[in-house]
Amino acid sequence: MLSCLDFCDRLYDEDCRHALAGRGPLPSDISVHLLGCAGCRLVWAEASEDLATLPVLLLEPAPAALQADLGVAVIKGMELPPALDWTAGITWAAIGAVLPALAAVAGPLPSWLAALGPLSLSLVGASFAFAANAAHESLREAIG
Amino acid sequence: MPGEAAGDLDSEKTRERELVRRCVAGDVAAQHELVRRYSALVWSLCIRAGLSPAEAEDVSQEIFWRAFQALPGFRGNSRLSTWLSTVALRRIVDHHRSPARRDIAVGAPSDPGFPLPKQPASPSPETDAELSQRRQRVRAALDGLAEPARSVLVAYYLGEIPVLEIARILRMPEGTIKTHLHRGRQTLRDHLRDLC
Repeated sequence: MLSCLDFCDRLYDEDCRHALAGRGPLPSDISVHLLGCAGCRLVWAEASEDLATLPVLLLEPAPAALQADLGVAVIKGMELPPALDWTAGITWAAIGAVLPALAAVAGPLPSWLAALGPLSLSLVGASFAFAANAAHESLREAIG
Repeated sequence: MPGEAAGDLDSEKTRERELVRRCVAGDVAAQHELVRRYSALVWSLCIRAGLSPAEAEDVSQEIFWRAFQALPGFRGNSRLSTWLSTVALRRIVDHHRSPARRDIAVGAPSDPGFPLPKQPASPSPETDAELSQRRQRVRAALDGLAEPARSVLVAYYLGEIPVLEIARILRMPEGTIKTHLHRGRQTLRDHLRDLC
């Protein structure tokens, strides 16, 4: 049996959203609770009203200039410049550059690594970190 | 009836899948149709999440760019509007988090001289006045909400993004998202109550 607090939490679950919008059946736990609780019947009615009115109140047309720009972009094959987050990339590159130096301070590096020299090691570290960040961003985008 | 509504939803999903198929195949008319259908949604998500009109224009364009890149991956499991809203919310959250954004002194829409977007046209002058008044109340109430409460409310009600997905994008517990929704709704209802 749902408590009133649990009932208020359940309002935002997808099965309840569908029921509130008239797109799905009333979940059984909600149905049982509504039968015995007048206060939550009011809460349910308010939630239903909000679901119907808020999208209308929050929506407004896009400016004509934006629609025109998007129209042109479509004709050009959606060649809008992607937003590259340079800040994150540079931050990770800096971390990658500093890490080999810290590792060298912490203890002796393997001879094949030490042979590269501090500058090369930092450059390699920065490149790896920048590439890893870019790959992570691309993966996140692809997974959607 | 829920059954009829579910049937409508299914046929809408079929139409959306067809639109996406044509877009991915390079049909420019379909791509125009997608932009025409959803530009208001994307723009509203940006502007209601607290972006200035100039920022909202730039971010809206980036959202459509990202959406077109990711469109071949759309499987039709959710409505196209929800999928697009998810793409939009990710970009808006990134924008809110970017250090460049934090350095910009952006005024609130309630500030004098802040360039507000145009109101939509409605068929009846009476309805137009009432709707306009209610929109202003909602906007004022949203201005009073801090981030991420504002974006949560907009994502759930306008973008129809499920709570779990909002929680994933914002990296917050599901319960926190529900708390933001509950408090945000109460704030909006308080602002609208005087009009009823």
